[in-house]
Amino acid sequence: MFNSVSDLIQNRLGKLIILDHFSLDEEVFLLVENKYLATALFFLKNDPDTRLNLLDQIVAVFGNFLPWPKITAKKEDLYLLYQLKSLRLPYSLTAAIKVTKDEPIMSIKHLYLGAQYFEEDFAQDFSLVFDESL
Amino acid sequence: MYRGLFNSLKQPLLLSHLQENELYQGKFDHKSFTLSSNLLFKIKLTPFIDLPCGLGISLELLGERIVKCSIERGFLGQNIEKNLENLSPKEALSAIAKLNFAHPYPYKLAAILAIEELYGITPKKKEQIARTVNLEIARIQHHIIALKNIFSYNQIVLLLDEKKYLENLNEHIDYMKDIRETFLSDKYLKKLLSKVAHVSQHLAASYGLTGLFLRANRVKYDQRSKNQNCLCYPKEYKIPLSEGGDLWGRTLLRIDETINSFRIIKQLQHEYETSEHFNPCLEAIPQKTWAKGLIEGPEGDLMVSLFYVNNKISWRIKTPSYFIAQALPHLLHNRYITEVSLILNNIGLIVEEIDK
Repeated sequence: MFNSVSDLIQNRLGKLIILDHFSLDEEVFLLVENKYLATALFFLKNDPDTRLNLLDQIVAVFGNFLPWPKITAKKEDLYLLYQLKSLRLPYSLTAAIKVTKDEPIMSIKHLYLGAQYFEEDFAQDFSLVFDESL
Repeated sequence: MYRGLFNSLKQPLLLSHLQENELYQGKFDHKSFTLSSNLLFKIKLTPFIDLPCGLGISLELLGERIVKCSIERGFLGQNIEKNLENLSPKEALSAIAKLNFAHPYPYKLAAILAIEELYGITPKKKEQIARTVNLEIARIQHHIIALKNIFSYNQIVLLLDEKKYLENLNEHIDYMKDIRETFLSDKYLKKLLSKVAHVSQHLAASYGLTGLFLRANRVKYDQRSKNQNCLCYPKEYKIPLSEGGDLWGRTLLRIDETINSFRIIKQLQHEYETSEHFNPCLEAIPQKTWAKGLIEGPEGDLMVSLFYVNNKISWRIKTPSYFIAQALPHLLHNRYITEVSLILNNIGLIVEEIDK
């Protein structure tokens, strides 16, 4: 199950969405293209095979601390980690996007209502721009 | 205080029955409704006006009902997560207590578990037992404070000395069972609390609410039921559940969880010796780049995530009140102004967790 989540998304939504992926212990990590963030999260939340409808937390971290197989991360890169959990299925997933100050980020407040405070804090702390119209 | 304030300003609403129903169900934009637009009052409740917690709440009222609610935060501005980056793990444990000065143990425990995972430290069996007992004691203290706001002080006795929780456990369990029967048979309380601050399962998940909000919708989500190597919960842990998703269901769940906690302490009582101590090896290099300590706090998931990047440890803390505050406008929507205090006192909101 854990090794096929990326294949599941790519088969259902297309190959451009997931840039990289790996599994660590009991968690799955996906690196998602920024402009497809809402699409990927909508799928992960509503698809009956994933049902990741619980927003665990959103974390902003600098650096190359995650061992992405294909992509080489730099120390100054800022990543947003969207940690999701399922209430019915026994696993969790982290969808990561690489962000910059200039590029607006898709807001996911309409998908996960608990993302509001996270986006407000990131906008204040890291000068990020969250756009609901994207 | 609030009832006296609004009686003097109360004016009769010129609404038909159908129009009133439409207005309260949100199908009608009240601002465009000319008859009642001059009756819409904006009341700002600053942090220091008779509220149980230091939080700014701005309400728009129609008569005595809350039509719109917005939360104002940032009054504390503690920057706990940023300040923890400059501290050693031991110093960070005392600094993390700022999240809740009254009951800091759950936060310290989550931080200890995260540090141990980061440095590859395995706790001993005695430490696991001591941590489990101390966590359940903190849970009991938290729930009793919330229950005290519903029951009169004569019915619930607040035990401040944690050593008393290890004595006469059978009497404590029987006492809480009597409280449970009283609560179930009280029709006034049922009428007061039913369908108040209702949160469905899907809404709770969307807001990120865990703990009582999920278990009051019969969702079996509890970190204590998962196999945790660092704590000593029973293998076949029975999760207390209730139904309704409202204040009544969550209050019943608090009583059940208090009884459950006393039972867990009773099981581990004979092996519990002294309070555990934590001595991390400060010279050791972290063995991982990412570690997390996740426990079942009194109000939901409590998680400390540590990221070891560029020879520096970044702290990220997940607290239940951070999500409860976002759900507060939904909880207060279409409620009476007199119910604000009742709702705020019983959702376990801790302001320091919001402004972290």
